[in-house]
Amino acid sequence: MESYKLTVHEIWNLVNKREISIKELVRDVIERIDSTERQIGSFITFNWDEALYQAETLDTLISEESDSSKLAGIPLGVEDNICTLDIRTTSASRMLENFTPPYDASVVEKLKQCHSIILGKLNMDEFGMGSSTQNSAFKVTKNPWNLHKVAGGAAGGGAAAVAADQVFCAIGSDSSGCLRQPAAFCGVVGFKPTYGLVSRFGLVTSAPSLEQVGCITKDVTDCAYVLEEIAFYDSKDSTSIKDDSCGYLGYLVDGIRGLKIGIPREIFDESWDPDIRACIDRSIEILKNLGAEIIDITLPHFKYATASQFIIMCCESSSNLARYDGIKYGKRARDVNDLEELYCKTRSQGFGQEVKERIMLGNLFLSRQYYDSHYKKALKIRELLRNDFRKAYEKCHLILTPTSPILAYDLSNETNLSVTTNYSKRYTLLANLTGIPAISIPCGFSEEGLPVGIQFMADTFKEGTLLKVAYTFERNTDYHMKRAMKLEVTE
Amino acid sequence: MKLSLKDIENMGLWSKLKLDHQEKEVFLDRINKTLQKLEIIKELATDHLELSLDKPIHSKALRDDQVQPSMSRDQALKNAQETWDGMFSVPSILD
Repeated sequence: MESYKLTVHEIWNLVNKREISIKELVRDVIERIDSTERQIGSFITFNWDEALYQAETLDTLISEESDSSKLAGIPLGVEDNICTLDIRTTSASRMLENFTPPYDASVVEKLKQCHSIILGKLNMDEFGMGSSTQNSAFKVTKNPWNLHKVAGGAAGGGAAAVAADQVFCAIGSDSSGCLRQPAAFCGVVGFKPTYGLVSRFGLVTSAPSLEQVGCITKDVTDCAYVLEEIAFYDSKDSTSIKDDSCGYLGYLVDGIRGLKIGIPREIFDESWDPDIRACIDRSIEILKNLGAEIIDITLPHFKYATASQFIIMCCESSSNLARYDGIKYGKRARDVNDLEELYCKTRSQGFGQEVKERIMLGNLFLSRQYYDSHYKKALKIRELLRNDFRKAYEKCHLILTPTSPILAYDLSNETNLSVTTNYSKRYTLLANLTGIPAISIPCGFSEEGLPVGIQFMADTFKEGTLLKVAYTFERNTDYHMKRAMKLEVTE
Repeated sequence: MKLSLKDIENMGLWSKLKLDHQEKEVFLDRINKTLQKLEIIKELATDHLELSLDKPIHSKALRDDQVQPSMSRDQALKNAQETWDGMFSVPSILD
Protein backbone atom coordinates (compact mmCIF):
# COMPACT_ATOMS: atom_id res chain seq x y z
CA MET A 1 0.00 0.00 0.00
CA GLU A 2 1.33 3.44 -0.91
CA SER A 3 0.19 4.94 2.40
CA TYR A 4 2.78 7.72 2.15
CA LYS A 5 0.59 9.39 -0.47
CA LEU A 6 -2.20 10.01 2.04
CA THR A 7 -2.83 12.97 4.32
CA VAL A 8 -2.76 13.06 8.13
CA HIS A 9 -6.55 12.98 8.38
CA GLU A 10 -6.82 10.10 5.90
CA ILE A 11 -4.21 8.13 7.84
CA TRP A 12 -5.97 8.88 11.13
CA ASN A 13 -9.18 7.39 9.75
CA LEU A 14 -7.40 4.27 8.50
CA VAL A 15 -5.56 3.76 11.79
CA ASN A 16 -8.78 4.16 13.74
CA LYS A 17 -10.54 1.60 11.56
CA ARG A 18 -7.51 -0.70 11.99
CA GLU A 19 -7.05 -0.77 8.23
CA ILE A 20 -3.38 0.05 8.58
CA SER A 21 -0.91 -0.43 11.41
CA ILE A 22 1.55 2.26 12.51
CA LYS A 23 4.36 -0.22 11.91
CA GLU A 24 3.27 -0.70 8.31
CA LEU A 25 2.89 3.05 7.86
CA VAL A 26 6.34 3.89 9.20
CA ARG A 27 7.94 1.20 7.03
CA ASP A 28 6.14 2.55 3.96
CA VAL A 29 7.32 6.06 4.61
CA ILE A 30 10.91 5.06 5.34
CA GLU A 31 10.99 3.13 2.07
CA ARG A 32 9.67 6.20 0.31
CA ILE A 33 12.38 8.39 1.83
CA ASP A 34 15.01 5.83 0.99
CA SER A 35 14.01 5.78 -2.66
CA THR A 36 13.65 9.55 -3.15
CA GLU A 37 16.07 11.23 -0.76
CA ARG A 38 19.09 11.06 -3.05
CA GLN A 39 17.25 13.26 -5.55
CA ILE A 40 15.54 15.64 -3.15
CA GLY A 41 17.94 16.10 -0.21
CA SER A 42 15.32 17.03 2.40
CA PHE A 43 16.94 15.54 5.49
CA ILE A 44 20.08 16.33 7.46
CA THR A 45 19.67 13.58 10.09
CA PHE A 46 17.51 10.46 10.15
CA ASN A 47 15.84 9.00 13.23
CA TRP A 48 14.67 5.73 11.69
CA ASP A 49 15.71 3.28 14.40
CA GLU A 50 13.86 5.23 17.06
CA ALA A 51 10.86 5.67 14.71
CA LEU A 52 10.64 1.93 14.03
CA TYR A 53 11.01 1.14 17.72
CA GLN A 54 8.24 3.62 18.57
CA ALA A 55 5.99 2.16 15.88
CA GLU A 56 6.31 -1.30 17.45
CA THR A 57 4.62 -0.14 20.64
CA LEU A 58 2.23 2.46 19.27
CA ASP A 59 -0.32 0.15 17.66
CA THR A 60 -1.25 -1.35 21.02
CA LEU A 61 -1.09 1.98 22.80
CA ILE A 62 -3.35 3.81 20.35
CA SER A 63 -5.94 1.02 20.33
CA GLU A 64 -6.09 1.26 24.13
CA GLU A 65 -6.47 5.05 24.22
CA SER A 66 -10.00 6.20 23.50
CA ASP A 67 -9.05 9.84 22.91
CA SER A 68 -5.76 9.58 21.09
CA SER A 69 -4.41 12.70 19.40
CA LYS A 70 -5.01 13.30 15.71
CA LEU A 71 -1.24 13.19 15.32
CA ALA A 72 -0.80 9.85 17.10
CA GLY A 73 1.39 7.55 15.05
CA ILE A 74 1.88 10.15 12.30
CA PRO A 75 5.44 10.16 10.88
CA LEU A 76 6.68 13.73 10.54
CA GLY A 77 9.83 15.78 10.13
CA VAL A 78 11.21 18.57 12.30
CA GLU A 79 13.27 21.42 10.89
CA ASP A 80 16.86 21.25 12.06
CA ASN A 81 16.70 24.44 14.12
CA ILE A 82 14.28 22.92 16.66
CA CYS A 83 15.98 21.08 19.51
CA THR A 84 15.36 17.35 19.77
CA LEU A 85 16.61 15.31 22.71
CA ASP A 86 19.48 13.05 21.66
CA ILE A 87 19.00 13.89 17.97
CA ARG A 88 21.62 16.15 16.40
CA THR A 89 20.34 19.70 15.80
CA THR A 90 22.58 21.69 13.47
CA SER A 91 20.54 24.62 12.12
CA ALA A 92 22.27 23.54 8.89
CA SER A 93 25.48 25.13 10.16
CA ARG A 94 29.02 23.77 10.62
CA MET A 95 28.91 25.72 13.89
CA LEU A 96 26.44 23.20 15.35
CA GLU A 97 27.53 20.16 13.36
CA ASN A 98 28.30 18.28 16.59
CA PHE A 99 25.47 19.66 18.75
CA THR A 100 23.08 17.11 20.24
CA PRO A 101 20.64 18.81 22.60
CA PRO A 102 20.07 17.33 26.06
CA TYR A 103 16.42 18.43 25.92
CA ASP A 104 13.42 18.72 23.63
CA ALA A 105 11.96 22.01 22.43
CA SER A 106 8.51 22.46 23.99
CA VAL A 107 6.83 21.91 20.64
CA VAL A 108 8.70 18.62 20.22
CA GLU A 109 7.78 17.58 23.74
CA LYS A 110 4.14 18.18 22.78
CA LEU A 111 4.47 16.15 19.58
CA LYS A 112 5.92 13.29 21.61
CA GLN A 113 3.03 13.50 24.08
CA CYS A 114 0.76 13.12 21.04
CA HIS A 115 2.74 9.99 20.06
CA SER A 116 3.85 11.51 16.77
CA ILE A 117 6.84 9.83 15.19
CA ILE A 118 9.86 11.98 14.34
CA LEU A 119 11.51 10.54 11.24
CA GLY A 120 14.38 12.99 11.15
CA LYS A 121 15.64 16.54 10.99
CA LEU A 122 14.98 18.58 7.89
CA ASN A 123 17.33 20.66 5.80
CA MET A 124 17.18 24.44 5.80
CA ASP A 125 19.23 27.55 5.01
CA GLU A 126 21.92 28.03 7.65
CA PHE A 127 20.32 29.61 10.74
CA GLY A 128 17.28 30.37 8.58
CA MET A 129 19.20 32.86 6.43
CA GLY A 130 18.19 32.39 2.83
CA SER A 131 15.26 31.79 0.53
CA SER A 132 16.28 28.68 -1.37
CA THR A 133 17.87 26.09 0.97
CA GLN A 134 21.05 26.49 -1.03
CA ASN A 135 22.68 28.10 2.02
CA SER A 136 22.74 24.88 4.03
CA ALA A 137 26.24 23.85 5.07
CA PHE A 138 25.39 20.23 4.26
CA LYS A 139 23.35 19.89 1.08
CA VAL A 140 21.02 21.60 -1.37
CA THR A 141 17.35 20.61 -1.28
CA LYS A 142 15.71 20.32 -4.70
CA ASN A 143 12.13 21.02 -5.70
CA PRO A 144 10.18 17.75 -6.19
CA TRP A 145 8.18 19.35 -9.02
CA ASN A 146 11.32 20.11 -10.98
CA LEU A 147 14.69 18.92 -9.74
CA HIS A 148 16.47 21.82 -11.44
CA LYS A 149 14.58 24.36 -9.35
CA VAL A 150 15.00 25.51 -5.76
CA ALA A 151 12.63 24.27 -3.08
CA GLY A 152 12.48 27.74 -1.51
CA GLY A 153 13.59 28.49 2.00
CA ALA A 154 14.61 28.72 4.65
CA ALA A 155 12.51 25.61 5.41
CA GLY A 156 12.97 24.09 1.94
CA GLY A 157 13.69 20.64 3.43
CA GLY A 158 10.26 20.55 5.08
CA ALA A 159 8.35 21.76 2.03
CA ALA A 160 10.15 19.36 -0.31
CA ALA A 161 9.70 16.43 2.09
CA VAL A 162 5.94 17.03 2.35
CA ALA A 163 5.60 17.58 -1.41
CA ALA A 164 7.57 14.40 -2.15
CA ASP A 165 5.43 12.36 0.29
CA GLN A 166 8.44 11.69 2.52
CA VAL A 167 6.61 12.93 5.60
CA PHE A 168 2.97 13.76 6.32
CA CYS A 169 3.83 17.12 7.82
CA ALA A 170 6.79 19.21 8.85
CA ILE A 171 7.27 21.45 11.87
CA GLY A 172 9.51 24.45 11.30
CA SER A 173 9.95 28.13 11.91
CA ASP A 174 9.11 31.23 9.90
CA SER A 175 10.93 34.58 10.23
CA SER A 176 10.17 36.12 6.84
CA GLY A 177 7.99 33.55 5.10
CA CYS A 178 10.38 30.65 5.63
CA LEU A 179 7.50 28.15 5.77
CA ARG A 180 5.06 29.83 3.37
CA GLN A 181 7.39 30.66 0.48
CA PRO A 182 8.83 27.10 0.17
CA ALA A 183 5.31 25.72 0.64
CA ALA A 184 4.21 27.84 -2.35
CA PHE A 185 7.23 26.77 -4.42
CA CYS A 186 6.51 23.09 -3.64
CA GLY A 187 2.70 23.13 -3.94
CA VAL A 188 1.80 22.44 -0.30
CA VAL A 189 0.29 24.36 2.64
CA GLY A 190 2.51 26.60 4.82
CA PHE A 191 1.26 28.17 8.01
CA LYS A 192 2.65 30.84 10.35
CA PRO A 193 0.56 31.38 13.49
CA THR A 194 0.19 34.60 15.51
CA TYR A 195 3.41 35.53 17.35
CA GLY A 196 3.29 33.79 20.72
CA LEU A 197 0.67 31.18 19.87
CA VAL A 198 3.20 28.34 19.56
CA SER A 199 6.10 28.01 21.98
CA ARG A 200 9.55 28.97 20.72
CA PHE A 201 11.36 27.38 23.67
CA GLY A 202 14.07 25.21 22.18
CA LEU A 203 14.05 26.95 18.81
CA VAL A 204 17.54 27.96 17.65
CA THR A 205 16.43 31.36 16.56
CA SER A 206 18.40 34.14 14.95
CA ALA A 207 15.64 36.78 14.79
CA PRO A 208 13.41 36.25 17.84
CA SER A 209 11.02 39.16 17.35
CA LEU A 210 10.19 37.95 13.83
CA GLU A 211 10.28 34.18 14.14
CA GLN A 212 7.38 31.86 14.92
CA VAL A 213 7.04 28.08 14.91
CA GLY A 214 4.48 26.76 12.41
CA CYS A 215 3.92 23.89 10.01
CA ILE A 216 3.89 22.64 6.43
CA THR A 217 1.16 20.15 5.50
CA LYS A 218 -0.44 18.51 2.46
CA ASP A 219 -3.78 20.24 2.95
CA VAL A 220 -5.68 22.70 5.15
CA THR A 221 -7.37 20.01 7.27
CA ASP A 222 -3.96 18.64 8.22
CA CYS A 223 -2.85 22.17 9.06
CA ALA A 224 -5.75 22.51 11.53
CA TYR A 225 -4.92 19.08 12.99
CA VAL A 226 -1.33 20.16 13.63
CA LEU A 227 -2.22 23.62 14.95
CA GLU A 228 -4.73 22.06 17.35
CA GLU A 229 -1.83 20.26 19.01
CA ILE A 230 1.06 22.71 18.82
CA ALA A 231 -0.78 25.86 19.97
CA PHE A 232 -0.50 25.98 23.77
CA TYR A 233 0.74 28.26 26.52
CA ASP A 234 4.30 27.52 27.61
CA SER A 235 5.73 29.07 30.76
CA LYS A 236 9.24 28.43 29.43
CA ASP A 237 8.72 30.96 26.62
CA SER A 238 8.22 34.52 27.88
CA THR A 239 6.48 35.49 24.63
CA SER A 240 4.00 32.61 24.83
CA ILE A 241 0.36 33.62 25.20
CA LYS A 242 -2.81 31.92 26.33
CA ASP A 243 -5.40 31.99 23.59
CA ASP A 244 -8.89 30.77 24.29
CA SER A 245 -9.94 30.74 20.66
CA CYS A 246 -8.52 27.28 19.92
CA GLY A 247 -10.74 24.48 18.65
CA TYR A 248 -9.41 25.00 15.16
CA LEU A 249 -11.06 21.93 13.69
CA GLY A 250 -14.39 23.71 14.10
CA TYR A 251 -13.33 26.22 11.46
CA LEU A 252 -13.05 23.56 8.78
CA VAL A 253 -16.35 24.50 7.22
CA ASP A 254 -17.16 25.27 3.62
CA GLY A 255 -18.67 28.75 3.61
CA ILE A 256 -17.27 32.26 3.32
CA ARG A 257 -20.37 34.18 2.24
CA GLY A 258 -20.11 37.80 3.37
CA LEU A 259 -16.44 37.54 4.30
CA LYS A 260 -14.55 40.69 3.29
CA ILE A 261 -11.19 40.05 1.67
CA GLY A 262 -8.84 43.02 1.20
CA ILE A 263 -6.63 43.46 -1.86
CA PRO A 264 -3.69 45.76 -1.06
CA ARG A 265 -3.36 48.26 -3.90
CA GLU A 266 0.41 48.68 -3.42
CA ILE A 267 1.01 44.93 -3.88
CA PHE A 268 -1.38 44.41 -6.77
CA ASP A 269 0.23 47.32 -8.66
CA GLU A 270 3.60 45.52 -8.57
CA SER A 271 5.02 43.38 -11.32
CA TRP A 272 4.62 39.59 -10.79
CA ASP A 273 5.36 36.59 -12.92
CA PRO A 274 2.50 36.52 -15.48
CA ASP A 275 1.55 32.95 -14.56
CA ILE A 276 1.21 34.01 -10.92
CA ARG A 277 -0.95 36.97 -11.96
CA ALA A 278 -3.25 34.63 -13.91
CA CYS A 279 -3.56 32.20 -10.97
CA ILE A 280 -4.31 34.98 -8.47
CA ASP A 281 -6.88 36.62 -10.77
CA ARG A 282 -8.58 33.25 -11.20
CA SER A 283 -8.52 32.65 -7.43
CA ILE A 284 -10.16 36.00 -6.77
CA GLU A 285 -12.97 35.05 -9.15
CA ILE A 286 -13.39 31.73 -7.32
CA LEU A 287 -13.59 33.52 -3.96
CA LYS A 288 -16.13 36.00 -5.36
CA ASN A 289 -18.26 33.14 -6.67
CA LEU A 290 -18.13 31.53 -3.23
CA GLY A 291 -19.66 34.68 -1.76
CA ALA A 292 -16.64 36.60 -0.50
CA GLU A 293 -16.61 40.35 -0.96
CA ILE A 294 -13.37 41.62 -2.47
CA ILE A 295 -12.45 45.16 -1.47
CA ASP A 296 -9.54 47.49 -2.17
CA ILE A 297 -7.34 48.37 0.78
CA THR A 298 -4.09 50.23 1.18
CA LEU A 299 -0.87 49.49 3.07
CA PRO A 300 0.92 52.83 2.61
CA HIS A 301 4.23 51.75 4.16
CA PHE A 302 4.50 48.43 2.31
CA LYS A 303 7.39 49.67 0.11
CA TYR A 304 9.64 50.01 3.18
CA ALA A 305 8.80 46.61 4.67
CA THR A 306 11.50 44.49 3.00
CA ALA A 307 14.28 46.87 4.06
CA SER A 308 12.88 47.17 7.58
CA GLN A 309 12.62 43.40 8.03
CA PHE A 310 16.12 42.89 6.68
CA ILE A 311 17.68 45.46 9.03
CA ILE A 312 15.86 44.12 12.12
CA MET A 313 16.78 40.56 11.19
CA CYS A 314 20.49 41.43 10.76
CA CYS A 315 20.59 43.31 14.08
CA GLU A 316 18.90 40.53 16.02
CA SER A 317 21.08 37.91 14.33
CA SER A 318 24.32 39.69 15.15
CA SER A 319 23.30 39.72 18.78
CA ASN A 320 21.85 36.20 18.91
CA LEU A 321 24.71 34.52 17.10
CA ALA A 322 27.25 36.15 19.41
CA ARG A 323 26.72 33.12 21.67
CA TYR A 324 28.70 30.95 19.26
CA ASP A 325 32.13 31.69 20.67
CA GLY A 326 33.75 28.27 20.76
CA ILE A 327 33.45 28.12 24.54
CA LYS A 328 30.00 26.96 25.53
CA TYR A 329 28.85 24.57 22.82
CA GLY A 330 29.08 23.90 19.13
CA LYS A 331 32.27 24.14 17.13
CA ARG A 332 35.58 24.90 18.86
CA ALA A 333 38.60 25.76 16.73
CA ARG A 334 41.89 24.00 17.47
CA ASP A 335 45.48 25.28 17.50
CA VAL A 336 44.87 28.75 18.86
CA ASN A 337 47.20 30.92 20.92
CA ASP A 338 44.78 33.09 22.85
CA LEU A 339 41.11 33.70 23.56
CA GLU A 340 40.61 36.28 20.81
CA GLU A 341 42.01 33.86 18.27
CA LEU A 342 39.70 31.12 19.58
CA TYR A 343 36.64 33.34 19.08
CA CYS A 344 37.65 34.53 15.63
CA LYS A 345 38.85 31.21 14.30
CA THR A 346 35.80 29.32 15.59
CA ARG A 347 33.34 31.80 14.11
CA SER A 348 35.23 32.17 10.83
CA GLN A 349 35.31 28.40 10.34
CA GLY A 350 31.82 27.73 11.68
CA PHE A 351 29.66 30.29 9.86
CA GLY A 352 28.90 30.35 6.14
CA GLN A 353 29.23 33.45 3.98
CA GLU A 354 25.58 34.59 4.18
CA VAL A 355 25.57 34.32 7.97
CA LYS A 356 28.85 36.21 8.29
CA GLU A 357 27.53 38.98 6.08
CA ARG A 358 24.34 39.41 8.07
CA ILE A 359 26.23 39.43 11.38
CA MET A 360 28.58 42.12 10.03
CA LEU A 361 25.66 44.17 8.73
CA GLY A 362 23.82 43.80 12.03
CA ASN A 363 26.83 45.09 13.92
CA LEU A 364 27.08 47.99 11.47
CA PHE A 365 23.40 48.95 11.93
CA LEU A 366 23.80 48.81 15.70
CA SER A 367 26.89 51.04 15.63
CA ARG A 368 26.60 54.69 16.68
CA GLN A 369 26.76 56.02 13.15
CA TYR A 370 23.95 53.81 11.76
CA TYR A 371 21.76 53.14 14.80
CA ASP A 372 19.27 55.99 14.28
CA SER A 373 19.32 56.02 10.50
CA HIS A 374 18.85 52.27 10.11
CA TYR A 375 17.93 50.19 13.18
CA LYS A 376 15.71 52.73 14.92
CA LYS A 377 14.13 53.70 11.64
CA ALA A 378 13.39 50.08 10.78
CA LEU A 379 11.63 49.70 14.13
CA LYS A 380 9.55 52.80 13.44
CA ILE A 381 8.61 51.45 10.03
CA ARG A 382 7.47 48.24 11.70
CA GLU A 383 5.17 50.32 13.91
CA LEU A 384 3.81 52.21 10.94
CA LEU A 385 3.11 48.92 9.19
CA ARG A 386 1.30 47.57 12.23
CA ASN A 387 -0.91 50.67 12.08
CA ASP A 388 -1.48 50.11 8.35
CA PHE A 389 -2.70 46.59 9.08
CA ARG A 390 -4.81 47.71 12.05
CA LYS A 391 -6.60 50.18 9.79
CA ALA A 392 -6.98 47.60 7.03
CA TYR A 393 -8.64 45.12 9.38
CA GLU A 394 -11.25 47.75 10.22
CA LYS A 395 -12.41 47.32 6.61
CA CYS A 396 -11.83 43.62 5.94
CA HIS A 397 -11.50 40.23 7.65
CA LEU A 398 -8.55 38.99 5.63
CA ILE A 399 -5.88 40.28 3.27
CA LEU A 400 -4.97 38.39 0.10
CA THR A 401 -1.67 38.46 -1.80
CA PRO A 402 0.32 36.01 -3.90
CA THR A 403 2.66 34.15 -1.55
CA SER A 404 5.58 35.17 -3.74
CA PRO A 405 5.83 37.40 -6.82
CA ILE A 406 8.09 34.82 -8.48
CA LEU A 407 8.03 31.09 -9.18
CA ALA A 408 10.63 28.59 -7.94
CA TYR A 409 13.82 29.62 -9.75
CA ASP A 410 16.76 27.69 -11.15
CA LEU A 411 19.23 26.16 -8.70
CA SER A 412 22.40 28.23 -8.26
CA ASN A 413 20.67 31.21 -9.78
CA GLU A 414 20.48 32.96 -6.43
CA THR A 415 21.56 36.52 -6.81
CA ASN A 416 24.57 37.19 -4.63
CA LEU A 417 22.92 40.17 -3.03
CA SER A 418 21.31 39.08 0.19
CA VAL A 419 18.69 41.80 0.47
CA THR A 420 17.24 40.93 -2.92
CA THR A 421 16.91 37.27 -2.02
CA ASN A 422 14.10 38.53 0.14
CA TYR A 423 12.36 39.70 -3.04
CA SER A 424 10.63 36.33 -3.20
CA LYS A 425 9.39 36.88 0.36
CA ARG A 426 8.38 40.54 0.16
CA TYR A 427 4.71 39.68 0.77
CA THR A 428 5.22 36.97 3.37
CA LEU A 429 7.56 38.98 5.61
CA LEU A 430 4.71 41.42 6.35
CA ALA A 431 3.18 38.89 8.74
CA ASN A 432 6.50 38.49 10.56
CA LEU A 433 6.99 42.23 11.00
CA THR A 434 3.47 42.68 12.34
CA GLY A 435 3.08 39.39 14.28
CA ILE A 436 -0.13 38.36 12.50
CA PRO A 437 -1.03 34.83 11.30
CA ALA A 438 -0.80 33.89 7.61
CA ILE A 439 -1.29 30.85 5.43
CA SER A 440 -0.12 29.90 1.93
CA ILE A 441 -2.13 27.35 -0.05
CA PRO A 442 -1.78 26.09 -3.63
CA CYS A 443 -3.81 28.10 -6.16
CA GLY A 444 -2.63 26.84 -9.54
CA PHE A 445 0.33 26.02 -11.74
CA SER A 446 2.54 27.89 -14.17
CA GLU A 447 2.71 26.89 -17.82
CA GLU A 448 5.82 24.81 -17.10
CA GLY A 449 4.02 23.04 -14.25
CA LEU A 450 5.44 24.83 -11.21
CA PRO A 451 3.09 25.37 -8.25
CA VAL A 452 1.75 28.82 -7.37
CA GLY A 453 0.70 29.81 -3.85
CA ILE A 454 -1.88 32.29 -2.59
CA GLN A 455 -1.43 33.91 0.82
CA PHE A 456 -4.14 34.98 3.27
CA MET A 457 -3.26 37.12 6.29
CA ALA A 458 -5.61 37.74 9.22
CA ASP A 459 -5.53 39.88 12.35
CA THR A 460 -3.82 38.45 15.45
CA PHE A 461 -5.50 35.31 16.84
CA LYS A 462 -7.82 35.01 13.86
CA GLU A 463 -6.32 31.66 12.82
CA GLY A 464 -9.85 30.29 12.62
CA THR A 465 -10.86 32.75 9.91
CA LEU A 466 -7.73 31.89 7.94
CA LEU A 467 -8.45 28.18 8.16
CA LYS A 468 -12.05 28.73 7.12
CA VAL A 469 -11.25 30.67 3.94
CA ALA A 470 -8.35 28.36 3.06
CA TYR A 471 -10.50 25.27 3.61
CA THR A 472 -13.36 26.67 1.55
CA PHE A 473 -11.01 27.58 -1.30
CA GLU A 474 -9.42 24.14 -1.17
CA ARG A 475 -12.79 22.33 -1.15
CA ASN A 476 -13.77 24.14 -4.32
CA THR A 477 -10.51 23.56 -6.20
CA ASP A 478 -8.24 20.56 -6.73
CA TYR A 479 -4.75 22.07 -6.78
CA HIS A 480 -3.88 20.52 -3.41
CA MET A 481 -4.61 17.03 -4.75
CA LYS A 482 -1.95 17.19 -7.44
CA ARG A 483 1.34 15.59 -6.57
CA ALA A 484 4.87 16.15 -7.77
CA MET A 485 4.62 13.75 -10.71
CA LYS A 486 8.04 14.50 -12.13
CA LEU A 487 9.71 12.79 -9.22
CA GLU A 488 11.12 9.54 -10.44
CA VAL A 489 11.82 6.99 -7.79
CA THR A 490 15.32 5.53 -7.92
CA GLU A 491 16.15 2.04 -6.84
CA MET B 1 27.91 56.62 1.90
CA LYS B 2 30.02 53.82 0.47
CA LEU B 3 32.03 51.65 2.81
CA SER B 4 35.77 51.16 2.35
CA LEU B 5 37.90 48.06 2.81
CA LYS B 6 38.93 49.49 6.20
CA ASP B 7 35.26 49.61 7.24
CA ILE B 8 34.82 45.96 6.30
CA GLU B 9 37.90 45.11 8.37
CA ASN B 10 36.36 46.90 11.35
CA MET B 11 33.03 45.14 10.89
CA GLY B 12 34.93 41.85 10.88
CA LEU B 13 36.61 42.83 14.17
CA TRP B 14 33.30 43.77 15.83
CA SER B 15 31.85 40.47 14.65
CA LYS B 16 34.83 38.39 15.82
CA LEU B 17 35.43 37.17 12.29
CA LYS B 18 38.81 36.71 10.68
CA LEU B 19 38.52 37.70 7.03
CA ASP B 20 41.15 37.11 4.38
CA HIS B 21 41.74 39.65 1.64
CA GLN B 22 39.53 37.88 -0.88
CA GLU B 23 36.63 37.67 1.59
CA LYS B 24 37.00 41.36 2.41
CA GLU B 25 36.76 42.24 -1.28
CA VAL B 26 33.65 40.06 -1.73
CA PHE B 27 31.94 41.50 1.35
CA LEU B 28 32.84 45.06 0.35
CA ASP B 29 31.04 44.66 -2.96
CA ARG B 30 28.03 42.80 -1.57
CA ILE B 31 27.55 44.99 1.49
CA ASN B 32 27.81 48.23 -0.49
CA LYS B 33 25.15 46.94 -2.90
CA THR B 34 22.94 45.94 0.02
CA LEU B 35 23.32 49.35 1.67
CA GLN B 36 22.37 50.99 -1.60
CA LYS B 37 19.18 48.93 -1.73
CA LEU B 38 18.35 49.96 1.83
CA GLU B 39 18.58 53.66 0.92
CA ILE B 40 14.84 53.47 0.25
CA ILE B 41 14.09 53.97 3.95
CA LYS B 42 15.66 57.44 3.76
CA GLU B 43 12.64 58.59 1.74
CA LEU B 44 10.45 58.28 4.80
CA ALA B 45 10.58 60.94 7.51
CA THR B 46 10.20 59.33 10.93
CA ASP B 47 12.02 61.73 13.24
CA HIS B 48 8.72 63.07 14.54
CA LEU B 49 7.59 59.58 15.58
CA GLU B 50 8.08 58.25 19.07
CA LEU B 51 9.24 54.67 19.26
CA SER B 52 6.96 52.71 21.54
CA LEU B 53 8.41 49.48 20.34
CA ASP B 54 9.39 48.02 23.65
CA LYS B 55 5.70 47.34 24.11
CA PRO B 56 5.20 43.74 22.97
CA ILE B 57 2.41 42.71 20.64
CA HIS B 58 0.54 41.27 23.59
CA SER B 59 1.39 42.10 27.18
CA LYS B 60 1.88 39.11 29.40
CA ALA B 61 2.37 39.05 33.13
CA LEU B 62 5.63 37.49 34.25
CA ARG B 63 5.34 34.08 35.85
CA ASP B 64 6.04 33.56 39.54
CA ASP B 65 9.68 33.04 40.38
CA GLN B 66 9.32 29.55 41.74
CA VAL B 67 11.73 26.65 41.54
CA GLN B 68 10.46 24.04 39.10
CA PRO B 69 11.78 20.58 38.32
CA SER B 70 14.51 20.80 35.71
CA MET B 71 17.11 18.76 33.87
CA SER B 72 19.38 16.55 35.95
CA ARG B 73 23.10 17.23 36.07
CA ASP B 74 23.85 13.99 34.23
CA GLN B 75 21.45 14.88 31.44
CA ALA B 76 22.83 18.41 31.14
CA LEU B 77 26.35 17.06 30.83
CA LYS B 78 25.43 14.21 28.51
CA ASN B 79 26.55 15.88 25.32
CA ALA B 80 29.18 18.23 26.72
CA GLN B 81 32.43 18.33 24.74
CA GLU B 82 34.46 17.92 27.93
CA THR B 83 33.50 17.45 31.58
CA TRP B 84 35.46 17.58 34.81
CA ASP B 85 34.19 16.37 38.18
CA GLY B 86 30.53 16.71 37.23
CA MET B 87 30.94 20.09 35.58
CA PHE B 88 31.35 21.49 32.09
CA SER B 89 35.00 21.91 31.25
CA VAL B 90 35.68 24.85 28.94
CA PRO B 91 38.80 26.65 27.77
CA SER B 92 40.08 29.44 29.99
CA ILE B 93 38.28 32.70 29.27
CA LEU B 94 40.73 34.90 31.16
CA ASP B 95 44.07 35.46 29.48
